Amino acid sequence: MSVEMRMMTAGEALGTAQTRLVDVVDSLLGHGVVLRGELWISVAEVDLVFIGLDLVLAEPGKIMGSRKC
Amino acid sequence: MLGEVALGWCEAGQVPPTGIAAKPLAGLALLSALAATPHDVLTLQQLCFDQGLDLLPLSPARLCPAIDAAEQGDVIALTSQLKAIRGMAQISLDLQWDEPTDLQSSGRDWLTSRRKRATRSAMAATWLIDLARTLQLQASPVELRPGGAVIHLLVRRDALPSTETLAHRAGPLDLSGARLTLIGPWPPIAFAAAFR
Repeated sequence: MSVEMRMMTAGEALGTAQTRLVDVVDSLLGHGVVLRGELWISVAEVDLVFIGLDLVLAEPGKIMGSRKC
Repeated sequence: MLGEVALGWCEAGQVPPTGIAAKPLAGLALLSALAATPHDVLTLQQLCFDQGLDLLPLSPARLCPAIDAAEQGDVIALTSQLKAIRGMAQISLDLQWDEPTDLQSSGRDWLTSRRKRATRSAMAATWLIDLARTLQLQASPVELRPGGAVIHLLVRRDALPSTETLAHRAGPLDLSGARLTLIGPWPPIAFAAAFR
């Protein structure tokens, strides 16, 4: 097994522009839940059709911003 | 728009960083500050954490519910959560394979690449769950990502695992070509769900 390892501080992750790490930060912000579904239709072990569905479920308040006291 | 947002709870008497207010409530302290975006909130929470505070983080836009919760008598649960995260930190592990950037020449190639991507996500999830179990650490639900997966672990702040430790504990799965990124330490955001 050969895995490339790297470490990143929280500060570096917060300032990064790498999409992948922005995703990690975003998930911490609790914007919502992403439901991802994938379906293959295969015949004789040959993939013929792929159906993918991504759904973002979030509380409206989290998307629209904070309410005032 | 700039507004006052709640950052999280800490035990009364802890001194927050400059620019962050500590409002005493029910024997605890609710930290708040001016922030414009959820990203700003996370940055401020990180600042509190880096200065050594045991912070029970709140998700952005939660100033009113936080005050309501304390005033309505959720103090026992709050105190219990604070106790559970005292001296703890969160690390995030992102295990992934690089996605191919070239365009597939045919539909069949595209389907093959999608299947490979899904297989890798499942492998990464299995590996991360096994790792958390082996290390006997509390873990968040694993998050599947294209070509990989992410998990958050609750660890002792004074005993953060290194990437070498993690590699040593790696399971028998073939992870050739994968990249494991250890991000953190963060405040235990993924483990304060009851107050999010």
